[in-house]
Amino acid sequence: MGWMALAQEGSVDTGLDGVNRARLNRAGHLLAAGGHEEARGEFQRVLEVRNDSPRALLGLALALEGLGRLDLAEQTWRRLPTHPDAVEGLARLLLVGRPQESLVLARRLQTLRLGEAPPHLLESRAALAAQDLGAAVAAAERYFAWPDREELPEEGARHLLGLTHALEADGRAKEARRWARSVLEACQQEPVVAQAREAWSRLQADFHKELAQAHAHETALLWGQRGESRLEAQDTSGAEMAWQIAWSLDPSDERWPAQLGKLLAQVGGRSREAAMAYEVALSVRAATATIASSDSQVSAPPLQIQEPVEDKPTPWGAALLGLGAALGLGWWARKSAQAPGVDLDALLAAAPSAGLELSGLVAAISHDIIKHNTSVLPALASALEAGSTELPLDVASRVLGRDGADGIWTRWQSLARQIEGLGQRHGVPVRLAADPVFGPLEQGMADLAALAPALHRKGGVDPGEIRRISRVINEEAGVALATMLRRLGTCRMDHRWIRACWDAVRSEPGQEGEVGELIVDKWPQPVWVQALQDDLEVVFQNLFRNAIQVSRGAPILVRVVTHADAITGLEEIEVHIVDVAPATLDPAVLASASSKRGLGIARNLLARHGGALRVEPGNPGKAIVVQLQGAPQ
Amino acid sequence: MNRVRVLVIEDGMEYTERAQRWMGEGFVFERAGSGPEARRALEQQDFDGVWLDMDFGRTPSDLLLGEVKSSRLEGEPARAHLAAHQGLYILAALREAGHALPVLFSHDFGDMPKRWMHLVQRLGPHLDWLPETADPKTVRARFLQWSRP
Repeated sequence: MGWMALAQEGSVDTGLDGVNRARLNRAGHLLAAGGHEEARGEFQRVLEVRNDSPRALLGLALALEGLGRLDLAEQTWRRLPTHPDAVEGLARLLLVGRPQESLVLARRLQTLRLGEAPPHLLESRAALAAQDLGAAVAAAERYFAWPDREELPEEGARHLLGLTHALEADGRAKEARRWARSVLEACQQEPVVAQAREAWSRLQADFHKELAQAHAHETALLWGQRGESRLEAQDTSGAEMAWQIAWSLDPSDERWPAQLGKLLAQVGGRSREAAMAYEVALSVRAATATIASSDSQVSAPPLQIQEPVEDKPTPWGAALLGLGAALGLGWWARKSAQAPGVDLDALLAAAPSAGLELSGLVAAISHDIIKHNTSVLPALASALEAGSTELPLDVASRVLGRDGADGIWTRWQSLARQIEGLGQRHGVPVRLAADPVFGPLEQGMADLAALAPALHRKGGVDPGEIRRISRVINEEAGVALATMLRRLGTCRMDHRWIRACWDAVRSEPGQEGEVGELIVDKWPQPVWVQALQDDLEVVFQNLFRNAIQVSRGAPILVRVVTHADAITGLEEIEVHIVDVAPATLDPAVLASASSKRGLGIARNLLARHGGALRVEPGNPGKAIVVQLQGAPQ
Repeated sequence: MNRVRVLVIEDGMEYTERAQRWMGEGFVFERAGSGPEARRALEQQDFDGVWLDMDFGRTPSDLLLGEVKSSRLEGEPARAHLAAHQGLYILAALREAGHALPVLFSHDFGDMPKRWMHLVQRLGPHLDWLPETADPKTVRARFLQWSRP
């Protein structure tokens, strides 16, 4: 720094003889090497000869600071009230204890240093220390606006990060993001860059949360397309925001961060941000490839750099390809038609616990998309043949939305992406296009959305095409969805299955001793229940473990009882596990069983499926009764 | 021919709007949003049949009919159960009140023959179903079966 260098050597200090000039230079070297005590002695000796020597005073102040003698250092700085380096030194010294005075000094310094780079960063630091956030931001902005500003020093970068945190804490997330980005792009010191990346990632994640909430009912695909159209219109900020929204809505799709990265790499001054977007895209892609390659049943294409195909030339295309190649990202420039992904069977095989949530989403598609909307397509075809205009317009509005309300296309997109997001949460890269049920449905919905605008024109749509789409959506996919819905979360239980649960427990280490027999008393035919098989296995294995523990070698009896609800006709299934141990369990004990113990685990798992546990006293012993809701066979 | 008068019982407006828009002339559709509302409508007007939804998830709890007898369902799960099968509770209440008119359920009982048989025995005989995804033309054909000369 200029003022420190001045304290060391190189400036002329008139009125000193050769010995003292040499002493001054030696003191400067000592100071630079950290020899504060010796340097102080040398500077003081010079001052004994000439007590107003600026170099000696500046050096002495620095040496005193180095020795922790801040009070003496302050007094020394004050001996040069109009010397810019001394004013700067004093302003820095007072940053912590007296920030208001420091701020005044930093502002005065601008006058003292007319013609030089103004000390905007120092002013900003003082303002932040004085808790004047507005002044801190304004000064920092002036720093970046100064045309001949020097490289951002580490100290300044750290301050700007502090400013970022202060803005964030003040609820000014948007400004905080801007400053984090500024540090990220302007800072060259690696430790600070790492901190800036961390801050930027956190703020970006918050930003995406906000975007996802604000656009919860919209779809990533549409925003992605909007981004492309904005780019074509040379509206880079519009494109950037569109892709940010798309990314926030579907973090599992690498296209959006990759698109954003491409854009940012071109706008100038945002290369690190662009690289971070690429890194996210790569990590999504890598996760996809890892999962795909770990499952031999998954037909995912290998991860490889594809040759460029049919890339639409753009003004920045050449630069993009160069950057992409440099980063090993040739794939992102391609459309994701061959993006890897698995179908829903693979998801359920890898993550059975996803079944419940998946069933909710499938039910929503069945209800919102088909039941109340696309089921009118055959009637639409008839209306078109009859030359009706009103009904086609009605369907067009249903599909595309009206009066600002979403249409079923948007709703479909949202639900479809939720299913893919569900896969992502379970670490399985679901791609609906790869699913035998959802693939055709997705295509059918896309065909319908593409055709809907033409419904406004008489004769604009072929009724035969409407019937074809209806067959795809309502008949083939609709029936398949209904079947899937019934299959999801349905478990078949028979006496062999219950015995397998028993055998699994009996063969556990430590169970070789006093284990009685399992007697399947009444289980005449299989029963179907609404629950996940994996969950039920855990339930019965826990209950068997408990029963074995308390029975001490006595037999344990199992029976199944079914009865239909008088009004709904729904079957209730009860599995009784009877042991000879006294009934020490009562409903209160059952209800309060720890969720980490066998009974509590069983109770909680059953509750997830609308089931329950109860205890019935017997003579002798007791019965633990598992209650479940029946399911269609 | 007289127009067929259909009471649509649903928790939203979707069935009614769809029917009014897509089924053309020859029908009169009235809507009831809950069991109590349906009972009042049937006491005040003549209908040729009822088009009945199954799930009444949007209906306020105090308007849901029935009570849950299963000890495995208590609190919110019991309410959810009532809403999810409310169509059947409404039907049972209508039958109990002496309304024997034909009822078309909008629910897929296709793979539940045993359950359907049970329901017809208890709540029939004029009981029929079509899946929720049935197109208006198919539904219309069922309604026309209720027409009076």
